[in-house]
Amino acid sequence: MVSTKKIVLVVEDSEDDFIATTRAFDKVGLLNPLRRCSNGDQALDYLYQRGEFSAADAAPRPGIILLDLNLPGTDGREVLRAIKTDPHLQQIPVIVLSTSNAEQDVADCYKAGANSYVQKPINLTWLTEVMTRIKEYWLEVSIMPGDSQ
Amino acid sequence: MLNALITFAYRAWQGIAARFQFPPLPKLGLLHHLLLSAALMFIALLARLLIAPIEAGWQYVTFFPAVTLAVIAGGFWAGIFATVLGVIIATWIFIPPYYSIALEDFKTVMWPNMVFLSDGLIISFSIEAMHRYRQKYENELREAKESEVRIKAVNKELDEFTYIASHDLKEPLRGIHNYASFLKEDYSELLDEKGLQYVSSIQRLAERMSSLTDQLLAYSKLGSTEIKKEAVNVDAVVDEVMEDLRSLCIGGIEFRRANKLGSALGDAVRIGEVFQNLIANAAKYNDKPVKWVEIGRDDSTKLIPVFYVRDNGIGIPVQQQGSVFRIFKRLHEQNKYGGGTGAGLTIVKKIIDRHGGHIWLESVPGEGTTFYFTLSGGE
Repeated sequence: MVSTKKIVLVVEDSEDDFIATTRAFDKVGLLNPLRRCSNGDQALDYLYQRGEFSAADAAPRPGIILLDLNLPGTDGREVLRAIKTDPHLQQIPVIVLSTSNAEQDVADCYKAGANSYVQKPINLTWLTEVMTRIKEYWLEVSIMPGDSQ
Repeated sequence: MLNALITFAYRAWQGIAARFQFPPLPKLGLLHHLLLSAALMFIALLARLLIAPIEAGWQYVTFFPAVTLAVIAGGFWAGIFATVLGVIIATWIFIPPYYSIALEDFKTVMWPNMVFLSDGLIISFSIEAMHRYRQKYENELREAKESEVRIKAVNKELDEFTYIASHDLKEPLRGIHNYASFLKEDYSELLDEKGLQYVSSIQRLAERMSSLTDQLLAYSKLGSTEIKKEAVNVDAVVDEVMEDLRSLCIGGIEFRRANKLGSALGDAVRIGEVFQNLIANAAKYNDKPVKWVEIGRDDSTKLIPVFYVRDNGIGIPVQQQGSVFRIFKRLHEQNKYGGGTGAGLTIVKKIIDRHGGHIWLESVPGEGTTFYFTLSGGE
C-alpha cells in the first residue's frame, strides 16, 4: 500500500533543519514529492490555496503535514489549530516536529488535534531513524482518507 | 466613636470656615489629637463628678484611664497634654479652695500631683515606644513580604529566560551536528584520519552541549512547576527506581535496604528523581571489587524522617564537599566514571529545596559517601 504520490508538506522555518530533513528523506528512500513552507502564514496560504498559491495547480493538497512548532509570525500552534478546525483540512494527518518536549506543548498539540508529536533529534542518525518510522507508519502502514478509492 | 465625632466636628468647622472665609485651620493631626485629649479629659471629669462628691478627694481616679486612652489614640503629645490638663482641672475643681487655681493650691497636694504627672509621662512614653516598635516591626514585615514577592517574580523570569535561551540554543546546535554529519558522509574520502577525528569531536561536543541544555531546561522547569504535597509510599518509589536502574544494566552492585522507608509528604515523581540520581551516583562512583549501595531511613532524631543513600565508593574530598551541588560542577574528567553532565545533584538539591527539606553529606575519601536528606523543614 505504498503511496508515492502523496505530497508531504514540511512547515519549517530553519533552512538548516529543512536540509537535514530532506537529506534524511533521501536516505530512507522517500519518493513522495516534498513541498516546503518556511512560516505559518505561508503554510496557511498554501493550504487555503490563496496568495502566492492561488493558481489552480500551485498548491496540491498534501497527504501529510510535518509541522514545526516555533515559527516566525503565525506560530505552528495556530497553524495546527487552523487545520484541525477546518472541515476540509482536518482529515490531513499532522505530525508535529519540535525541539521542545515540554509537557505543556505536547498536551496542547494533542488537544488541538495533532496526530503525532515527535521531538527533533540533535543527531542525524536519529533523525534518519525518525523519518524511517514516519515513512513506514504514515505512508505505508496507515490507510489515509482517499486511499480506498 | 469619639474620634469620629471630633473628625466630623473638624470637617464641619472646616466647611463653615471655608464659607465665611475664616483663616484655615491647622492640619488634622496634632491639633486633632489635642482636641481628642481634651474631650477625653472632659468625659473623665464628668465620670469623676458622677461617682463621688467634689470633697471626696480621688481627684485623679478617672484621669488615669483617660490619659492612657489619649496616648493610645493620639500619641505622646496627646498624652502629655492630657496629663497637664488633668493637673489643672484637678487643682481648679477638687483641691480646696474649690473652683480656684493658684500655685499655693498645687503645693498642698504636691505628692498626688507628682504621682499623676510622672505616671502620665511614663504612660505617654511607654505606649508611644510600644507603638513605634510595633510600627517598625510591621514595616519590616511588609518589606520582607514585598521582597519575597519580588524574588519570586525574578526567579520565575530567570526560569523563563533559561527555558527560552536553552531552546533557542538547540537549533544552531542541531545545525552544527548535522553539517558535521554531512561532512563525514559526503567528504570522508577527502579527509584523512585526523580530519575525520576532528569532525567526530565536533559531533561529540554538539551532543554534549545538547545534553547540557537539556539539563538546564529540566532545572529551569523545576523552578516553575508546582510541587505536590501528598502522602508518598517511599518504599514503592524506591522499588520502582531500582527496577529502572537494573534495566539500565548497573551490574555487579549489591543493593541493600537497611529498613522500611515508610511514607513522606511530597511529590512522588520528584522524590523518585532524587533517589534515582543519588543511587545512580552511588553505583557509578565506585571502584571497589565488591560494590554496595545502602538505602535507608534514619529515625534517630525522631522529629522528621531522614532518608539516606550510602555507598562504599570513592568518597568526596572534604574541600570538594561544598561544591558538589553546583550546576555542571564535575569532580572528575568527563570520560571517567561513565561521564555525565554534572547537573544531577543540582537538580536533587532543587527538588529538596522546593519540598522545604535539606540535603547534606558525610564522606571519607576512599571509603564511601552517605547523602542524607529530609523532605520538610521539621517545623
